[in-house]
Amino acid sequence: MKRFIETIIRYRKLTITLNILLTLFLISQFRHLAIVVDLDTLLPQTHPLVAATNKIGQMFGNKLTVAIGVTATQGDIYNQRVLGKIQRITAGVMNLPGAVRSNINSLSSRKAKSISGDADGMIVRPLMEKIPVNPAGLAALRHAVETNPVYSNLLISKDRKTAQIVAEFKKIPGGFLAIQKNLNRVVDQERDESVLIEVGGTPVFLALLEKFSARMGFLFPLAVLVIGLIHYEAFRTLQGLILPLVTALMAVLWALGFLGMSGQPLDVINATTPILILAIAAGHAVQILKRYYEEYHRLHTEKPSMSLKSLSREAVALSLSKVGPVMLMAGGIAAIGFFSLVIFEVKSIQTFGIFTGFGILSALVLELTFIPALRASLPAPGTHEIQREKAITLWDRIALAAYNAAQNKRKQVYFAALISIAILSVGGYWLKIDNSQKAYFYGSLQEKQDDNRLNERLAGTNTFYILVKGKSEDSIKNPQVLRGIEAIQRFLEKDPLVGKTISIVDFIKKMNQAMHGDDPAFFTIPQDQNLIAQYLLLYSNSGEPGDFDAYVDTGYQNALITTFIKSDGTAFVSVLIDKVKLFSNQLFGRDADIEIGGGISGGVALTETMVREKILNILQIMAVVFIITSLVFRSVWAGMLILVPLLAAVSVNFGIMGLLGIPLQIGTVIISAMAVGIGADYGIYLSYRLREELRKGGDEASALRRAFQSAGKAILFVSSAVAGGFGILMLSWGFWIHLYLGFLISMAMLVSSASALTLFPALVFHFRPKFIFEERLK
Amino acid sequence: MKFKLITLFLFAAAYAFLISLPASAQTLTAREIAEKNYLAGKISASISEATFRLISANGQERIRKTSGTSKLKSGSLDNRSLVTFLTPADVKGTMILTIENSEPGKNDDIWIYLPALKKIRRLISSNKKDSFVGTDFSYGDVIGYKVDEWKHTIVREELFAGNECYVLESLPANDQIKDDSGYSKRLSWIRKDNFTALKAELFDLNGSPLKTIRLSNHQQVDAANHKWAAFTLEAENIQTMHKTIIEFSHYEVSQKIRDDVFTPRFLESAR
Repeated sequence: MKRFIETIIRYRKLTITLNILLTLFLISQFRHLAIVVDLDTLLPQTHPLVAATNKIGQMFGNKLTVAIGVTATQGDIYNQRVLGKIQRITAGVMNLPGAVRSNINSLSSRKAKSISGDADGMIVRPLMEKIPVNPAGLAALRHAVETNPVYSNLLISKDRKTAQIVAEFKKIPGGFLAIQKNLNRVVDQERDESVLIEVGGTPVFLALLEKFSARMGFLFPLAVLVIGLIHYEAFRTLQGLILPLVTALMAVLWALGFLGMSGQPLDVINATTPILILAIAAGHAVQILKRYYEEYHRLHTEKPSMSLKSLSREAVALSLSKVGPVMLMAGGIAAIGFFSLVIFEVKSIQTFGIFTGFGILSALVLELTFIPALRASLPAPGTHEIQREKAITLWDRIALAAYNAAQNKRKQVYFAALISIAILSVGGYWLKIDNSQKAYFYGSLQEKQDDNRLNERLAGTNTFYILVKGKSEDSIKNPQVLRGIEAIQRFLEKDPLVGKTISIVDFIKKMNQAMHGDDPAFFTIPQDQNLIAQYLLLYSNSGEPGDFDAYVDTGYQNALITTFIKSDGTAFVSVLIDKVKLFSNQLFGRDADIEIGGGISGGVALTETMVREKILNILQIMAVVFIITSLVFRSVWAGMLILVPLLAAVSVNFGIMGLLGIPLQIGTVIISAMAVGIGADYGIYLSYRLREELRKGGDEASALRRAFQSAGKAILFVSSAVAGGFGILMLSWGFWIHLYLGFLISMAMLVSSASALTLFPALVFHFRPKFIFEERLK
Repeated sequence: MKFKLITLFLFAAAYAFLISLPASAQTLTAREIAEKNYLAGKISASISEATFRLISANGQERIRKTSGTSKLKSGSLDNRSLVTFLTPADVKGTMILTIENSEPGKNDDIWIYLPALKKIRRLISSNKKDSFVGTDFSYGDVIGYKVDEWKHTIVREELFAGNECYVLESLPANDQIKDDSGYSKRLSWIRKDNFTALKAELFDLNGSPLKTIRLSNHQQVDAANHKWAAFTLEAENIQTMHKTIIEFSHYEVSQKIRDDVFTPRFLESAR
């Protein structure tokens, strides 16, 4: 290692040039970086719910539903002024880019038809082609709406005060923010004192996700600043402020470049990942810088005759040859741990793993090439600088206090650890897993309040779908199958949070009624399949070919039951889906079977996958840490002891989440992986330093104290910097994901550094394992 | 000097305007073209077989086979047609009778016979904009639009699908026509030689493009009367991306068709 570093120092200009060229090349790879706001990247693609979602998307189009509610402030909506607004909003939305024109439903859309009958047969007319101009016309419209129960609670609330425009959107360039901006332009023109207009549905929240993720544009520089300031406070030198940040920033640039080359897309959830890379990279840089100052100071005292420049270069070589292998090991373990996340099925978590893994490897390469070359080219630190770095500060006192606790107050340390782990395990019992997307955002946001109000007044802004798959073409026209569909609908509607269900059955029953002179006794499914087919043909003479596209496919082989729900909590939906599955089992015999998917079922899939994969994921990273640590120290003891601070950090993380009611979801699920990845470094750096100091011989207590004052102090620097950098995220108002990340990572850093500095050494001093105390045992 | 230049410019502009008027417009008016086109489609009586292909936005296809009979009312250009479904099995025997009524104040009549009910039903709202048996064609598209209910202009002449065509713009004469047809504007590409239409672009009530109809594979079915029929008719809804293709496998002008075929009583007796 020492010879390698000396070579680097000798060819420092070449090294710096090559590093800069590589950086420029990797920056050029940013052009391949695809930034997506795609729900698919968050979903486990082989989960049955997701597979069904994709199938439904292919058959019936991808459904991202926007709901626009227009509530009359006085009286009901049956007046020309409010109806005019509904008509204009419908027409406006219809012409927006990305709008699926055939699936826009409102009182004034062509799709919304009234089916009625008289002595001659069936009359099919759009509910409202033109706005009625007189009371009789308004009454007729009201009659038409109220005698077609399929529109009740969907296009108009039961109290007649709110009308809803339900529109489907496809993704467009410019993302959901562009869709939302367009929507607002249409809707805002109609806002006045006569109505309240609310906009809800998934695309609105995806737009918010885009908006809040874009905050990383200023949160990231702020995090850089905070990390830099903490380093400056720790080292009290300008190099201490700048050099770790140079490594960290370059590592982020490199990781982004590699990510671009790998073709892996960057999604919104990964917008915070650069802070993690920044923190880890800076952490390694700090360990080396700390050692460099120590070595420089030692050489300066031992060899006062040497020139400052040669002293500095010698210190660079020495510090790296001592800490380099430790860094390679710690960073290697973390990188392998993160890369191992590619076995996760969720694309976003794969990206997280690859991105962070690249970031750590980049930091290692930079610390072994660019930074020594740069430091060797910079002027040597002055005496003043050394003195400032050496000065006894609060950091030293904390490090020494930790040493005393681990050495002399072991019982108290164990006791405190047991108590806190017990309390937090109880908290973990309450930990809830929920992937409600809307729960990412503060309840006080306008968008959330709009959505809540729409859910109170109407069918619900959340949907999922039941796909009924017939054996062959026209299976859906089979009365047996239709009765099964109806049974599922009635079953679902028993749940108070289900606001409505719609299927082709609702229309067929209405046709049957119409063909029997509108007699309500015939609001039933006919017995004869041919009759059903002929009703549909009859309907098609006045309707339009696409009228039922949202409910059946062209061949009448597959049908869709749309379920509107007032909550997007996945825990609730998961239970509901299981109940429906159980209920519809055997319902169709051999005629058809069902699949469930679409809408909020994606969150359920994510939750179900996450429980299994999350445990797997933490175990996996821990196994990597255990195996590699055991191998490197040639001791199973080492592997086990290293895991202690990690277990503490993970259990505290889950415990706090449970106690505070923070749900485990796509945003928070990566925190324990982060905590383990960063936390493992602490134990490894400390172990190496303890062993190194003990090898030097002499008084054991002062050797151990020295290790605490250098590596221990560096751990404090690193954990405070990481906590401070991530803490910045707590400034992101309105967005729980940022707040959770900021808070939980800061907590995890506190816990893992505290346990790495107390519990871990207490155990080490207690059991005196060979991998640290080998020299003494001989 | 300045004054002279402006005068010169004005003269030049007026001259350019005059020569830009199409030469043919001086020989045939837009209305005359529309009328010739309307007449070209009026075939005295026919029997036919056709396949309807209904294609959804995501490419799923449904096929229906039909047989058809049509005959003009005697002494009138009003058409009567009877379409009978042959497949699929569940609608086999369903018949649709369409009777065009051009007398003012009278609506067209549409009757449907449903074999499962063994009853005929009258389709009450027989607006021309209604879908023709579930296709992307409206009844109006199939029956044709009465010449004087629309104001016609020749917008240009151009080569379309290898044929010299007039491009005719037709605007509804009044709001009633507009509402009944469902179109605020029609653009038709009409062949100069035989006045059959090759394409139509149709605009919805808001003025947005709604449908494109393409007619191809024309064959002269009645040489004596210079009548042509398109054997392939395609209607595509631009807003829903739904598409219908009607292909005639057989088409024959026949004078043997009885008039009583086109009565509701005949439908009931056919069961």
